[in-house]
Amino acid sequence: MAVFDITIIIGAVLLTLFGGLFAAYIGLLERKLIGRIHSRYGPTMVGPYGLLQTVADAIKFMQKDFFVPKRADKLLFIVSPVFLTFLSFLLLSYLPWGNFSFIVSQYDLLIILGIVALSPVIILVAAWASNSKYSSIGGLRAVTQILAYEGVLFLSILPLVFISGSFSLAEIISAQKNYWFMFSEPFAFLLFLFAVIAITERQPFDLPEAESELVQGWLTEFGGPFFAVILLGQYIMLYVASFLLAALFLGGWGGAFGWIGFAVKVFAGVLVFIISRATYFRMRLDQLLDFSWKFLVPLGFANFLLSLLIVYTSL
Amino acid sequence: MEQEAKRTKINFGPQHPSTHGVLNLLVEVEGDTVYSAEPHIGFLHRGFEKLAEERRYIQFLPALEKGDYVAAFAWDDLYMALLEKALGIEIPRRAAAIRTMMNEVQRIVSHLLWLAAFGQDLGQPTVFLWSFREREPFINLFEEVTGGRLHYYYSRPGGLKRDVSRDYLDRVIAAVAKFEERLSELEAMTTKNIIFQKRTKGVGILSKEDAMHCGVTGPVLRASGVGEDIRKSDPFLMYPHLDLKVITRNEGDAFARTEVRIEEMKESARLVKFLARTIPEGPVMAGPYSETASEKWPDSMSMASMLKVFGLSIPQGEWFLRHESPRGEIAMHLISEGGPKPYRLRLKSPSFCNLYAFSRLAKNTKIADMVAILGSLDLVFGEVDR
Repeated sequence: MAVFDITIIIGAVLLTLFGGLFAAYIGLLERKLIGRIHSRYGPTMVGPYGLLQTVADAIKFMQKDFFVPKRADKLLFIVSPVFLTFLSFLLLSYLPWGNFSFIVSQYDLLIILGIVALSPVIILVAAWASNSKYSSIGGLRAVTQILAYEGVLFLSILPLVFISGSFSLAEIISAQKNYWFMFSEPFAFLLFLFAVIAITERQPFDLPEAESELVQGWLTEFGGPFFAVILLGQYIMLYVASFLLAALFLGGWGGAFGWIGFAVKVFAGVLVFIISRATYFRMRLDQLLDFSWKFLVPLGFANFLLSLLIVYTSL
Repeated sequence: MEQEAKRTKINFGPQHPSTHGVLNLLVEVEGDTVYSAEPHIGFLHRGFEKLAEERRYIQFLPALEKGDYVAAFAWDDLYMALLEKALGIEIPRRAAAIRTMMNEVQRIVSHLLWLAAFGQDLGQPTVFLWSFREREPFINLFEEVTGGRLHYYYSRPGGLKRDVSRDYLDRVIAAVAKFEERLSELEAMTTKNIIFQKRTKGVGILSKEDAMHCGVTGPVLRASGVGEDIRKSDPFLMYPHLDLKVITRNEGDAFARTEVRIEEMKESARLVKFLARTIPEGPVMAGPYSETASEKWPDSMSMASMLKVFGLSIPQGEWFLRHESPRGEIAMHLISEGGPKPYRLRLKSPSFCNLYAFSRLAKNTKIADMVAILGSLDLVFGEVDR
């Protein structure tokens, strides 16, 4: 049970600041890096080297009108983006910060998966509340996609849980003392990577927001402050995804370099997501679902059984 | 009946990001499946054929180039060749060779713009920006000699507005050589990329019979296995003397169309290099309007010679000429009753005919496929609506 004392409050403020700054500067890095891949510069004008670009963007978003479409369900339309971002922050609060964690739990990984499983419901609510055709198609796409890849996510994490014998992130990290799970469980690593890109709706699995097909998908009607809030949530999800990637497969903060090494690993994870965004074409929905149900899910089961076998024979 | 009630009608465009300009598609969807797509055109209709009847021959040229704003050279040269045919002017070989060369550079530029837009349709802005990057040197070369980046007004009845230097031609060769190198990067991103292949192979298959029935032309027709190219079958300018390879594919899908266009870019690059090396020396203007050639400046701008060009009148008669633009067969039919304005000028645009095949192809596909099919047809709406 969390006790509301002063450290918790200060921690919460710092965490929010971190979330905002991470979103702002990883967003800027993404734009800069993708700009370079596109052979252009990215933002250069606002502040030195364009460093204040995201601040300017945030101010612009906040200045815009709180526009709610006439036929939208007003309450749900306003609440759903906020709640979606709240979920991202909730995820953030379960991630350990060294010895400090907001909510200490032996089952933090399980809880994180549970929170992730909530997001399609809210996306569906957001799409429904917008009452627009593009939004509803995008919302349905998002839900089918996330449901298809949540299974893959669970299957990729299960072997790790069995090997380390715990649902706690710290335990899983300490189980990687000798070798990283990326090497001992390469298939689980791949499954995790695909699943995470699909769940965070990033390219090449950005179908729910496919610009050339659905304008902005389920985000179409959300403008100004709503969009800024959703974007913040998405970048925090990116952080959570990279954090989990580094913690579950790249040895976490174990090893010689400790927390600095961990930060580098998280950053490497972010780079993987950014570069995949600039390199691949978008897949089609049926191809995406086929890829999950017909290839990744069976592969996940096979991998799970195989690792079970290995774990029990080595015991 | 119940099944049909579940279907939703969506208006795709005219402000939709994937309709490249101003097309409105009335799409009937259920979930992600498209049951029918009906194109509604006319948002960019400016009445070119009527404008032509209201203007003197030379005054119509600027309007004409705003039709297909992606490949203005093709229309420009076709119109000039038609006027020259009607007036009986034989243009100098140097002018013909430069026009041909510019046409082929224009083909590369136009196909690059298409590749850019197609990449964007399939969800990859990198291809978009890389194509624009490769397009830039050619646009700069156009700008240098004609003064315009998209609209050129380079041809004159009887020749060209301005001559090109040897140095310029060398730079064209260098630019093309660099482009050929860079094209492999674009190929690695598109035709050799597995997701691109998955998204385009077997999508929007237009059979040979359907292609001929719908009257599609250009790369779309050639991707369906018909080896028809006006540059080969009804050539003018320097095309009869060129050793031109007509590129065809038999699959008829979006991937085949991509391949045909990429191979055509390579073929055009080869032709441009050949033409730039072998352009004959000589004047660039001939016939009654040669006083307006740039080397006779300032006399070329005198009131007398301007009046002569503006007063250009064509004797009574009927002429027809066609040409292969990057998008397909363009044709003009001119009927004159004598005097400085045409009685009727009919423009035949390939984009319009290619759009005709669209609703046939988009039936019972996915939304993503529909966007890919629309992109693969290479439509320019200035040309569709005219």
